[in-house]
Amino acid sequence: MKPPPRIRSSPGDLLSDPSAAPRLIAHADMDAFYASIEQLDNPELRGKPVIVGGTSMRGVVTSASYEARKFGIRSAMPTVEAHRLCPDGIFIAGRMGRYVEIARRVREVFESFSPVVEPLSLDEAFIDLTGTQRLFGTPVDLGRALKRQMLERTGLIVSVGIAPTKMAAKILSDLSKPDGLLVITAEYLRSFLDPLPVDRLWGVGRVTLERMNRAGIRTIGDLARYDVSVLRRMFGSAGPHLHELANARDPRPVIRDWQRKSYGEESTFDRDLELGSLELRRVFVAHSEAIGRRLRADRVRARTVTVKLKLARALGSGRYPLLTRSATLEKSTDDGATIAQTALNLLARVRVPERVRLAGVQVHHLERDDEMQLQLFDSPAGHEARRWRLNRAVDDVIRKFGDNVISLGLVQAAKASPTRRIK
Amino acid sequence: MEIAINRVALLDALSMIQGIVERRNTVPILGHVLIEPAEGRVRLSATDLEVGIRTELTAEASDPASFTLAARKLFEIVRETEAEQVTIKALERDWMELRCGRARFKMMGLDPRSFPSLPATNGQLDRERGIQAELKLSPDVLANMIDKTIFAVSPDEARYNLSGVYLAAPESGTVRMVATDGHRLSLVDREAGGFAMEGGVIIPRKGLAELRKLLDEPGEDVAHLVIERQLAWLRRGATELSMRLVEGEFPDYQGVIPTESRYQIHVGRDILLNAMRRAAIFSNERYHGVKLAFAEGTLTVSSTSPEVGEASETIDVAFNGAEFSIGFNALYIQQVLNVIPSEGEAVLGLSDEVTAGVITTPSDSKFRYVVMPMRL
Repeated sequence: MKPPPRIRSSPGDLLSDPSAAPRLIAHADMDAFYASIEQLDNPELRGKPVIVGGTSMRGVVTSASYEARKFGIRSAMPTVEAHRLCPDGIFIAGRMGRYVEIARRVREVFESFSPVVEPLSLDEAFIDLTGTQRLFGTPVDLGRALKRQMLERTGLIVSVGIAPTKMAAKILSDLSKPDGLLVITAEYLRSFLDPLPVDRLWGVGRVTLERMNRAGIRTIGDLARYDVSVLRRMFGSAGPHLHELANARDPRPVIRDWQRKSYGEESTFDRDLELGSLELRRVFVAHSEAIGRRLRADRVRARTVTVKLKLARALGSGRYPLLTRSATLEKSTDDGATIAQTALNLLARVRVPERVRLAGVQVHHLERDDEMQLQLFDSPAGHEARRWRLNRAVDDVIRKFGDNVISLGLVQAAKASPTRRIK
Repeated sequence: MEIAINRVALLDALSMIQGIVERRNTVPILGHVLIEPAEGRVRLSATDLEVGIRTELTAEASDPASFTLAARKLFEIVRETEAEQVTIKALERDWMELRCGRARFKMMGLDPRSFPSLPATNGQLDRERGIQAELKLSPDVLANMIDKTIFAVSPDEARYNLSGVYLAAPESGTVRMVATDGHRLSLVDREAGGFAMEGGVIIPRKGLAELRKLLDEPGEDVAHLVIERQLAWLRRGATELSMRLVEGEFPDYQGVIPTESRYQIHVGRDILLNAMRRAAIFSNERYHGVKLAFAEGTLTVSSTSPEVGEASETIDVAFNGAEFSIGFNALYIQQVLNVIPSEGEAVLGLSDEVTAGVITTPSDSKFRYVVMPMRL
């Protein structure tokens, strides 16, 4: 019999080689995070179908309570469709400030189990539990302790998957929902994965799935037994990678200092906006301010600002022309007003006689805000220090009273339904 | 050609010159000292094109032919020798022979005609070049002004307008020196009879540091600093030092000096300096952040370095406002305390954690130090 293909590995891979040291990885994912927070804060909403991110008819659902899911409502579903499925549902714009605040506590619970936590978004993370059994007991004990602590400290429910690889842990937590805990050990890993549909694997999207189905690959087991060289011809370098995953070989480590590359805010409008309109300018300012707040909360500064515009003219099959413009600042910033000014300057340079359906602001080229020395000569004198003080005061107010109590006059109600993308 | 020079006098002159000769040696002649013999004396010159020094010694010379020698090597030879006299003799081409007692050295000189002219007059006041001002001060007073400002000059060469000490006359009969690196600023005023000047000039740090050394040399009771349009120079004893002024506009320093502070806190200079030194042990190596926390009757100086350790020390002070904390770069505070006399007192003028602090001392009412806090 031919030996199994070997993965070429560098010496550094030894540590993360699953055969070298069996790993224990949890994927923890909050159940209906935003909707659950709304139900937690407002008892009247409990037991009712709550849909967050859905006050605008053109937006998409960002979170739906399990009561709403019974109607077939799912995240990322267009709001129009959610309304059709559940006309009596409670549609809420969402309070990002509050969600971020709770997310911080969620993160603290994760970190109380292991220092190696890799957040995937506000409410979802991988936790490397390798070596923590001595502290917390069996993997099942670990999972139960995590769920119990989460409930005690946040009042929210988390679903947990625990496995020797990242991919399996993620699949398990998905399957366990709602309020679930699934654990699998290395010896049963293959037999667990084999019968699952192949699109459970990361990297198998709609197009790949169709091509796999045509090649007779329907389950993960089908893929695992498929000839790698054929897969390479079909899918390029992704082929062998997927083959490895299907064979339960996923040496990717949990990365603690996972570095975010950008921060962005965007929204789709109820009706298309003119390029030069005040409303569009408001949206840019609101997004910029929100980004500034998030940068400051994370103690990060950004140097590049990108604006993104989706034009109203449909290209068919749900696609629209996309315009982006970027500018790099002389000095990194965490000030919403600076980001807004840059975004508006970029906007002024866009000259297309068309309406806009979606507008977004993004910042990248991030650097950690460890330049803590304040400057004597800001231009104009003291401007930057004053902005810093103002921003911090506003941040404090929002942290204490929520983000509806204070905003720029211009921004007032401009952000009816922010959709938020986590990168 | 042959000259004989007293070794100790030559060593003094050469050590003064070492600070100016170009170390990087990108232009070989700038690493050399120009030696010009004349009747009963010899003149030594060195320059890096920005700063120039020229000094005279008594010497026995056979004829007035000039030559150059590598300044660093010459200094080392003269330093290591034990003889009372050093004699230098020209050999063929640009080769020179040095004799110190029984030791002999052979060195290659460069063509003296390629030695650049110094950024200086020949000690003559050249009215056409535009004298802006003449400052006459006691050498001690001038030295003290330099000490109280030069440490705050920016080490960042790119910020050239901050790369020197700003000298101006805020009013007739007063001389002011100001230095800043953009994080802190040091300002000192002194009475200077008859001194007047329109606008101000920026004196480069290197030249000013050399000038400061020269003030320690024996010489006249009055130091006479001449400021021309593009040059400043000072003659003391047999030595003349000249420097090209920094071109550029000094920032609006007056705008950043707080006119008043919420709290005025008096602290013993030595107590605070020692506490800062100890706290600095656990401050960040790059930013040296130290926290000053004020509470009823006390000031707690502390620092934390994750995974390394922490330090804290409480001092009694007359403080009775609302508790607050402010962060500073420990070096910025230590450096100003170092120019306040030992056993003196420092007065910290503070308002809140993001407003510039003002440090003064009763021992010098004309001195002010402004320092921006660090965010903690």
